[in-house]
Amino acid sequence: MESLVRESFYFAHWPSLLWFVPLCLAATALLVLYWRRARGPAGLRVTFLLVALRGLVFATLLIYLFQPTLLRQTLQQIPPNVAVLVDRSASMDAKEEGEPRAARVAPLLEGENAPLRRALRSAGKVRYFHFDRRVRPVESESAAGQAENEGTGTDIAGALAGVRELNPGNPAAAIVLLSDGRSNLGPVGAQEVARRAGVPIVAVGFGSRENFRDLQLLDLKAPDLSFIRHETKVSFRLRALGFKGRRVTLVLKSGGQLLATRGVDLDRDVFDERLTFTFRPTEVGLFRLALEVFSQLGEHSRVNNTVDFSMQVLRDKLRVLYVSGRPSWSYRFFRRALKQDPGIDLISFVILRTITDDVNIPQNELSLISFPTERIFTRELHNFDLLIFDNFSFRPYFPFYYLENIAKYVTNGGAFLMIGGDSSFGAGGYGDSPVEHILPVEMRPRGETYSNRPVTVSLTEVGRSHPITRLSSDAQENFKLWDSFPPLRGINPVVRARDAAAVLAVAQPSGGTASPASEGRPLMAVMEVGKGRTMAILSSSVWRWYFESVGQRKGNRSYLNLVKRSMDWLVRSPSLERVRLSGLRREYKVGEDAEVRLRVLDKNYRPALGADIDSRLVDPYGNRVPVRFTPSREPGLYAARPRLKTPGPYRLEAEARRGDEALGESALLLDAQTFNVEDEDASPDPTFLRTLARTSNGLFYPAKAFDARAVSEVAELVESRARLNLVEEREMPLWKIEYAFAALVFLLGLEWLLRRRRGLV
Amino acid sequence: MRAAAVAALPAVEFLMGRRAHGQADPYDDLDQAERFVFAQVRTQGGDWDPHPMAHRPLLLEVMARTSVEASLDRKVLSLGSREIFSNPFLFLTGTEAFEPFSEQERDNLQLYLESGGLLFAEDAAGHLGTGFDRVFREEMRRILPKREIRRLPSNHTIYRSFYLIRQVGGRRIVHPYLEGIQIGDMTPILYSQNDLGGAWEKDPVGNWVNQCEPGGEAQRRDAFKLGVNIVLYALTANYKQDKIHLPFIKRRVG
Repeated sequence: MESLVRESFYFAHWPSLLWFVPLCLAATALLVLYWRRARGPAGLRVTFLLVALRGLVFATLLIYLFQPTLLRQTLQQIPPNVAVLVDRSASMDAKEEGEPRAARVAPLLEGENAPLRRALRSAGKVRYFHFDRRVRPVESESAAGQAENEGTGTDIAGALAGVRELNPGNPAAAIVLLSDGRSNLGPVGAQEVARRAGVPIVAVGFGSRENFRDLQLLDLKAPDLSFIRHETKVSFRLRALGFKGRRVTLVLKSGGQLLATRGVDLDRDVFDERLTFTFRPTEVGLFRLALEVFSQLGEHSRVNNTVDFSMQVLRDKLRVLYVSGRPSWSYRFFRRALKQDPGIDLISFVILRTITDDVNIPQNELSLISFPTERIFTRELHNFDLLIFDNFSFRPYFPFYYLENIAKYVTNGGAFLMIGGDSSFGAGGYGDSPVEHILPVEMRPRGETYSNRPVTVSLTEVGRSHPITRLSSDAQENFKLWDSFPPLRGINPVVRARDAAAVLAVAQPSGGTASPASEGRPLMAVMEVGKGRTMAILSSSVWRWYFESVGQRKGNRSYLNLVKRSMDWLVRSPSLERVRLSGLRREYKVGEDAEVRLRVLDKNYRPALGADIDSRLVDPYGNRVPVRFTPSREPGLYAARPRLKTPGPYRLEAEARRGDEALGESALLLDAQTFNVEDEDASPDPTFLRTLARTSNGLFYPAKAFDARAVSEVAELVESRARLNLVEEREMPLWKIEYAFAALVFLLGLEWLLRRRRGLV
Repeated sequence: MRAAAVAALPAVEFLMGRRAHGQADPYDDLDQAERFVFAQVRTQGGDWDPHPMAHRPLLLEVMARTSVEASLDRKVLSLGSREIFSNPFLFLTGTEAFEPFSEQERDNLQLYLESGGLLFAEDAAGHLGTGFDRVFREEMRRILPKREIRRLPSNHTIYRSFYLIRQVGGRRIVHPYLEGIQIGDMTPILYSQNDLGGAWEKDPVGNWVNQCEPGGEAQRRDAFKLGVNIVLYALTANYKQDKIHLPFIKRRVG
């Protein structure tokens, strides 16, 4: 380390003007007086000389008042700290002209005589760091140029801040940054990043825009939830580098089904635009979707040509088709209940006039519209989630074979509710028809008539736990609610409930002796038919549970709740499903175990103990891996922890059985997130590096131009940042030394001698 | 014909052997499903029943023209009775001032109207400024203080629930419109001063009891049309306001 001496002069004391100014005036007055006295005898030249000598004496004395001091410092030059940051993110492996970007880094740093390494070593004290998502010191200088470029993200701002934190007491005076400039994490404003660094940054940029060709799908914005038949938008950025003049094709797929496609003309060398796909989901459920841009020859990577994502499609509104055989209080109050639910889109047809009714006025004076049975029962039925027949006999309105369409509609996943009355069930001609076979009750082949005798209603064992009739979570409270319902005025006395049906409530003649529920006639029964569900309410006077309950000051909530829960069960609302998968969360890291639970209830909606669960995890590539669920402490609850090994969307499927009985199935979507953002965009960003260097008063060089001259410029910049350390400091008060006194004596002596020679003494 | 079919049913059941073992089936009271019941309010004081035979011609007309099944016997109820909640349609009429309702009657009627019941009230005097009109309006102010009786617009469902009505009938045309009180999207109170009941009423041998003035029989036909629409409105609410009906109705109304 070199030493150097630096001297400087200063006044140690500044006298007060209050007495210094008068002192100066007095000295001046004395000199004037002295001039007058000496002028006559000595002549002008000698007088001038004498006054000058006297003036010098006065001036010297006055200067002494300021205590002039000499400061002598001995300094030692400290070599500057230099941090060299080498980008080790995956984008540094991007190949251009046949070799990866990082290949140009090694010659600068590898070997004792590598030019940059040697220059920096002579200019300062160098520390080497590697960085990608985080910064880390390099163990040895020789390892600086050697490492795999495996970083799954680049955070240049974080790396610059990290270097400062790693050496808090010994900050770098300059930073040399070797990178492609693609910073995809942390703050991305180069000026802000440079200001935060606070030291000059020498940036050497690797990679060239001209040689980089890639198609990228970025910034996908897609809703997690969508609604069936609703316009759904998926927007994203298409970034195309180096494919000017080409036309590329984009597709949006769900499984093997093409949802939307479009072509895009790439009219610029750097094409970057946000695009949107619009489609309407046609099915309810959980779906894995894929957005893809078809790859082009010479692309850097095909990984970023596809984005997988998942979407749950729900019903926005329950579409209900309600056919009432006549205007009735049953229709009036059921309609009122359905209309109160904003989630229900109700289309109803009420038969206001039969063929036997005589209206002796022209048709155009009636508000009646035709009942489009052909259109509804042959073409439109699948557009509805639920079909309700309320005391409606099909016979006058459509042919028998339409009933087969209704049966198919239910088997394929539709829902059907029949409400009783004198034109319903057997009385409506449904005995031994395709509709009878899907209903939970058996009718007499030749029909039966409606009984209008008052009946009281009680819940069956199944009804006490079934979600439709469980109007309160408290069993006692639920029992009281049902007990408080007013009697009904009649039922459809069908033969019996089907074996596969669940009878929820039975009716018994009102006023008679109470008998067990098993002896009552079915009043409310449900059944699963293929993928669909059906329900039978075998009375036309359930409306009394609405209005008469209001009159009893019990309110109408129980009736509304019953209707709502019936709708939910019929259309398989997820909240009422017997087998239901749920997850702690939807997104996990790659390699993490997902935490999932499966609740299983039996057909009577009681916890299903000892259920056999067949479950599998469908990975992003369509492979099916079995998943083992184990019973938890809570009855009917099973747990599993499947591992998500590769990034992308997963679908977990589970089916529960007990013996021969299928309890149900459920599905759940999971996402394993990839953290490799390098795949999205590996193009170099020299502009970022240039701005970083300019803002920090540093230097920027493209790697190709980083020659010997550039290396020496970097060394100069680093040297200029060297610090001087004070080793010794001495103060010398000039007014106290002998020379100062001798000078005063000399001046006075010279003046005395001159006066003496002129005979003035 | 319907009555004949109903009467024949027990015989059919018997032939099918349901009673073969001599055991009575508790569900053997065979009848049709619930019917529309014309329930009339008995007020204290005043003349609560100026047209005791009015309901029957109306209900026969309703059954002849529409698919509604109605009971031809009316029910007479007091507003204080809980039984009004078994009858979502009530008819209140009179020609003179009646005694104000009791607090219990007011509470009952308020709950009835706010929960889905329908009250058709009619001043049967056939002229303005009657005691019935005064007391009825006052009672409605007390029962529904935040609501007002207003003229129903010409596109109200009541005018299109079955017939497309352009002309309001009655025994006397005091107002060429109906009035009512709106709660939400429903009009649970309908009010007429045209004495529709007077136009509907027949004596036991089938003659009209009252002349309709000034429009004669055409005016009576309009009264029946409106009566049919009131019954249909009670049973189907705003069904005719559903989107599926609107283009048809608009085309016919012009």
